[in-house]
Amino acid sequence: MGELRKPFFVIALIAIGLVVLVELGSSLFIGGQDAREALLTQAAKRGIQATNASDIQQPPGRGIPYLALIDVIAFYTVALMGASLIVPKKLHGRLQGLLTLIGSIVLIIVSLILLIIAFIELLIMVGLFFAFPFGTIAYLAIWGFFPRGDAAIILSLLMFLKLVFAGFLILAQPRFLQNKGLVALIATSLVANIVVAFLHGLVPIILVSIVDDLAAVIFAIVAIIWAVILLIGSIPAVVKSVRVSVGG
Amino acid sequence: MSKRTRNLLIIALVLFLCCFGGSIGNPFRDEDSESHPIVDFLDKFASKATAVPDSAIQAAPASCRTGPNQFQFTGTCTLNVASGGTGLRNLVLTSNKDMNVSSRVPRKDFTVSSDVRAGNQVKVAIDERGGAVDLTCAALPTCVVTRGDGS
Repeated sequence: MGELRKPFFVIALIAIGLVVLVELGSSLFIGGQDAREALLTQAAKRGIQATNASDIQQPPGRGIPYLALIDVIAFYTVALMGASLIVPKKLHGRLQGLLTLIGSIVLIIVSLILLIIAFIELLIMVGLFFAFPFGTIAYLAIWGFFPRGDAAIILSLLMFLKLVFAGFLILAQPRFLQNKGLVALIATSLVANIVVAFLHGLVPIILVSIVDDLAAVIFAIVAIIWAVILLIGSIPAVVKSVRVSVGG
Repeated sequence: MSKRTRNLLIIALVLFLCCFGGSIGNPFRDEDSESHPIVDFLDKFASKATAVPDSAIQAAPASCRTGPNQFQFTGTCTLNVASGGTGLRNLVLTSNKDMNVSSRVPRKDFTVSSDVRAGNQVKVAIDERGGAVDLTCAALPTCVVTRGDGS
């Protein structure tokens, strides 16, 4: 099987790093464009007169930024592998468990907070949408015109980067395929990408924000599950590390 | 890497790409639809806005109010809903005649108006800031509007 091919591994690490950065910065590229005309059209369709409608913008959505909650785990896992190439083996072994323990706890807390935020927003959206006519028009004004095209571009870029990441990781060392946890994590990331694209494409444009928020809720839950798995997995390493330290 | 593993990887890659491509360019989407089963399902869990109580409503002119939960007017009547509470509230109204209802959009600063048929219930969403709900009677001599609790 041979040794780790470092250039391929570095490319994989850069690709997954870019994935996380694109996801976190996606709200800078998605949304913000004027949606006043679209609102007036939808209002007229429902027999509602909207006068002086202003400050109507396309929303950025939560689905894509929330993907980072899952992909940051893949980035952390691969970065940890990369660190073993630089950091002395003894130190790496001790730090790995501790860093994973702290990281997973932080991820659980952050994901939980973001889950609550997305869930409350989802309930508000649905509640407003069904409160016709005044609630519906409020929903349309705030969330009604999700930029599906822009989101599709970002999702395609993310899919490409994730496939680059997976491909170069295998090229770097085919034995990574035997690491079932890593394979499951990469599969989760790819499936999450498909889920958000599927939901965006499933419903009429005025409902995309609702399903996008639903996707965000799902990703936060998935991230919590993965963080708990990491947390449990880190405990033996921490115990071992403490024993070695106590034993001198 | 064995031949079997390589073939499996290629199949997985093709599957992922097909699913992704199909999701992005879904040809079966109905853009004119007003709802979707997923959203209808989510409505079961959505928090229902509480009804605006009669005590939070002040009619202008005051003569509009003819009794608890009842307003009678010719021309126009404004119902001022006091600020307060958290989240959205619904002002639930029913008129015996056709009328036009105009109100500020919750959490936004523009106004929308809608025609309401006689006997139909209208829910006017009101946010924490409260606001004025203008009622214009479309018929003569008078409209009798009743506030409900939304049930």
